[in-house]
Amino acid sequence: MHTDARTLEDGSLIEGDLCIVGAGAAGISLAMEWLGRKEKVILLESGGFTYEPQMQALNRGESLGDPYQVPLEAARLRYFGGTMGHWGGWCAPLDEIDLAKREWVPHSGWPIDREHLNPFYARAQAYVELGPFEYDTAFYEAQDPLRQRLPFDRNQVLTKMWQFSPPTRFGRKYREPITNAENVHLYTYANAVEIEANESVSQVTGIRVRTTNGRTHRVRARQYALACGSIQNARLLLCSNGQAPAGLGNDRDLVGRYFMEHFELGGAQLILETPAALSLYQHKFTQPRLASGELGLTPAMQRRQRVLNGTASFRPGSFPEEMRSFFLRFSQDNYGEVLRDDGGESSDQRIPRSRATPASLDARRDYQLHTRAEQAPNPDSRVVLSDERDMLGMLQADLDWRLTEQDKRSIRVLFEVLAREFGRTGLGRLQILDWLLEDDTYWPPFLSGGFHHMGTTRMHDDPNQGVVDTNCRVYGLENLFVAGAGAFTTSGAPNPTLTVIALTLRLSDHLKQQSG
Amino acid sequence: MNRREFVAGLPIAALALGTFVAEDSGTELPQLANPKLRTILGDQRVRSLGAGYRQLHRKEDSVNGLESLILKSIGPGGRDINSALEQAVREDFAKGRTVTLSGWVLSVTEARQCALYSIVAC
Repeated sequence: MHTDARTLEDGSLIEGDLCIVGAGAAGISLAMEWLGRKEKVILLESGGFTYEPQMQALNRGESLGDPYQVPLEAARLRYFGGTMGHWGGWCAPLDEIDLAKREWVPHSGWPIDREHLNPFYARAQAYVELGPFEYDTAFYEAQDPLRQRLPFDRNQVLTKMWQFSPPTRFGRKYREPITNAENVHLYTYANAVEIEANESVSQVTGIRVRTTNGRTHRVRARQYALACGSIQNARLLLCSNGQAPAGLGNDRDLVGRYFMEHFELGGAQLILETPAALSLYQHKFTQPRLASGELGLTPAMQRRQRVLNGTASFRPGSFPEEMRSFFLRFSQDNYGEVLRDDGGESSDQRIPRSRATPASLDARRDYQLHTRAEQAPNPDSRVVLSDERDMLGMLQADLDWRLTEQDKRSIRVLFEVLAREFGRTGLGRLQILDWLLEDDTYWPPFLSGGFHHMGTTRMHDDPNQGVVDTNCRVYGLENLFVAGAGAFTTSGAPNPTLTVIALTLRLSDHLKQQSG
Repeated sequence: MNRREFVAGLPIAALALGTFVAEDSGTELPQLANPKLRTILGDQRVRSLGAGYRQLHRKEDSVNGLESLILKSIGPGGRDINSALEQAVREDFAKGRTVTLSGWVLSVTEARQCALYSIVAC
């Protein structure tokens, strides 16, 4: 079922068993898991079914810390399907080490391990139209003798494999099953502006919803799951201060903290001694998108070097004189136009032409190496409430993104190790780009991320160190849960989508169990 | 004729082709001053990296000094010198004996070869 919340009478009461706030990767996969059940699911979506600047503006906020080069209103999408409309389709699970406690990475250590997540990852594959949960490099090497990993020291360097979703546009793929479902009721243009709690702040009693045409409704359910992205989840909790002055779940001043992104930018130039196609490492944007690899450091090497996780991808060609990030390839004015994909449009529009040309995949000597790197969990990197309000009267969220020397050193060390391996094997030489060789507190103007917002409501088994518990339940509130990357304790290096869905499926199982 | 005068007289084209045969019996200078890196990065870049190395390591900035350091890194004779150099370069990388010049991560041995080349090829 579907209702445009703007058409409801002012002051309507919407009731159900499970209320999901946000219809992106997490919210939709959670709702899909409940199709056909006896429980009534309410799915609240801020926007409609297409991109609308007016709705995007509700994400507006300032960048206060280290420069986050993309406007916040462009980094997430507010319509059914959410930021899956930006998605490039890259899928890989977190590594075992990403979830482990690493003594050289302060605040690391999830309360769950990779083995625990594996069955959920396997289920998540289907949501993004992928085959088996198979990320073993040897598996792919066995399929094609021309696609082999580089002959590097396997004690130091590993090849991490990626699978590629078409990419699945959740807004298109899951609109029909959800709007046709009898037990799921989607409300579009329904903006959650406050979560209401009981007097003892132990239970959520409802969610206040506003529409752009000035109506206010109330949603009441037995369980609530926040699935509107790391920044908006934190914003909603912080703004929900009717009973808790610091915001819900924020007794320990942790909501909004540990915001993390992935660093995605050029790091080194490779010149091979003889031309090679590096087929296993070539990512083709043409269909079908074969699994491909990236180079990273083994856990032992990360431990020895005391660095964060990260990988390096290959792109044909040499770096131009003027480095530009993905973000900066587009003018400030056309972010929305360039990045949205709201039906019918090819996802290729976000792929720079130079990277989409099949001819560029031939054997060659020059390759750019780009990093995809973990950001250290940092309590000072955070989302805070602004003094400004959006058109619904809700305080905006600002981003105080804080980077550390370890973040940068880790990227440099990755390329140094790779440079030594290319030299040792006689395959070629690596030139590390200037920005990485400068002081570790310096970040270049073309610094960019992957629109991967993580943290802000991190999972921890100690309420003094996390906002949600192992079941993604907000500490202190028995019926409020967080779905999505906000619950990540650390970011790892892979794009978060597959993990977001896996965690959501895990949450869904828990909610079903609770629901009986 | 001292070594510097000898080196100054080396025909650059011969070096570039790697075909020069030393008149000074027993010297390996032509091979030492002919880094394999030239085939990867090109003559101009190698020369510039060599000049950069000499600026950073003033004490090594002489043909004699560089030659003796390179010979030391490849160990006792009796082997084909080019293979020995290649082996030394790979061992440098394996053991982390590298220098970073203009961002290029080079083995110390090959960086010295570049330095020698930058003197010889001037």
